[in-house]
Amino acid sequence: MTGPRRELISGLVADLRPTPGPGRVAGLATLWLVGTFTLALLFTALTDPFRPGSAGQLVAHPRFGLETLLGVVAIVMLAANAFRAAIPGPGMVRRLLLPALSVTVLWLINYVLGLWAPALEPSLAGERRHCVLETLVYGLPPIFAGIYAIRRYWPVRGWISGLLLGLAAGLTPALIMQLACMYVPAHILSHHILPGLALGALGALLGHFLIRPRG
Amino acid sequence: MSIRAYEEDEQRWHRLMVEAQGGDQAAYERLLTELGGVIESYLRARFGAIDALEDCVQECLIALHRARHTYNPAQSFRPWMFTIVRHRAIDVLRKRTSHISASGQAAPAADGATDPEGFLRLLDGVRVLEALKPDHREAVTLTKYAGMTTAEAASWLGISEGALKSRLNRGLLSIRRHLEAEEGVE
Repeated sequence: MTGPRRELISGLVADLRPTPGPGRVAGLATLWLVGTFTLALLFTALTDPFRPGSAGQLVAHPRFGLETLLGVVAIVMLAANAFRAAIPGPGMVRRLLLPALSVTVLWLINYVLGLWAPALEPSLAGERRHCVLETLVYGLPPIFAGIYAIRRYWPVRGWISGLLLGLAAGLTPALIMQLACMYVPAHILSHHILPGLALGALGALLGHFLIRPRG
Repeated sequence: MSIRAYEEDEQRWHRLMVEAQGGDQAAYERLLTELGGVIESYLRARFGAIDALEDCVQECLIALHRARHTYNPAQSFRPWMFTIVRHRAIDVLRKRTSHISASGQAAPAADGATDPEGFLRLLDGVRVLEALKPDHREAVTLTKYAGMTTAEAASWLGISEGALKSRLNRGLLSIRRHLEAEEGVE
């Protein structure tokens, strides 16, 4: 071993402090997710009333309920894997990115199918005037909060964490709009899902530049 | 290395890292000392006679130190460690390339003719270089092995410096992808 390396190791050893390990990453992801849902729900409710009867439709129309449930599962996977991607390990794309994206695509396909066979009878009831803007605005703060939290770990692929985080943050208000805004699949795709996906792209971009391993 | 020795290393490093996370300095010193040798061998086997090998090893050790709180004892040690080492090594090589290019300094050449060990390192590096496209291989070889600046290498090949840098970056990216595929990262 070279002298400088020996000196470096001595320095690193002297700098050693007990560390808790990454066990808290799951807790942090849960906290972020709960915060994101709460924020979106709260602001959506404060801005305009939810679509009348939308909660009852979750039970009365099983396909609508399953569609919503699939959305929740997709968002949970996106958020969990965004934080898991901050821990160095193999198979980042295969293990984290692809499964979360697959479930998300499965969820979104429902709306495309809904163009021909909607889960609910399309109706203008509950129409919100600024649902696009609401989706974008409610999704932004969680992205930055998530980036701040993820930077505490050692994310090797910042864009993967950023993409997953952006999608989770953007699609959460999009999912809530499913209950708050009018149910018309074309409107859902263009006014709720598209802004959510745009936040995913923004997240990937921000992740690429802002989420870097320390040092 | 036998499977048994491989497993023993894995278990020992895992134990030492868990103890280090608890603040055990002796365990941490032993771990870093062992990993320094492992990282050096790894970099030699995969990159051959790169200049600043020692810098790379030390940067990797610092990265492991800064990332030690992300090691999950429920997971294997090697995949965690090599993910960090690969990432850091490529990062260091990229930075050195851009630094050499900006300052116009030539990187020290690998002297395979006078240094037998260096010659062996060169042979090790061939395995990685074979995976590159010819254009990319030329760029990597001239700058990282022959010690030319990007301007000199560009002049040698009769292309613009920008094109040379582009080939070099793509070559380094290919090396990274090759290594990731080899280790099953992606």
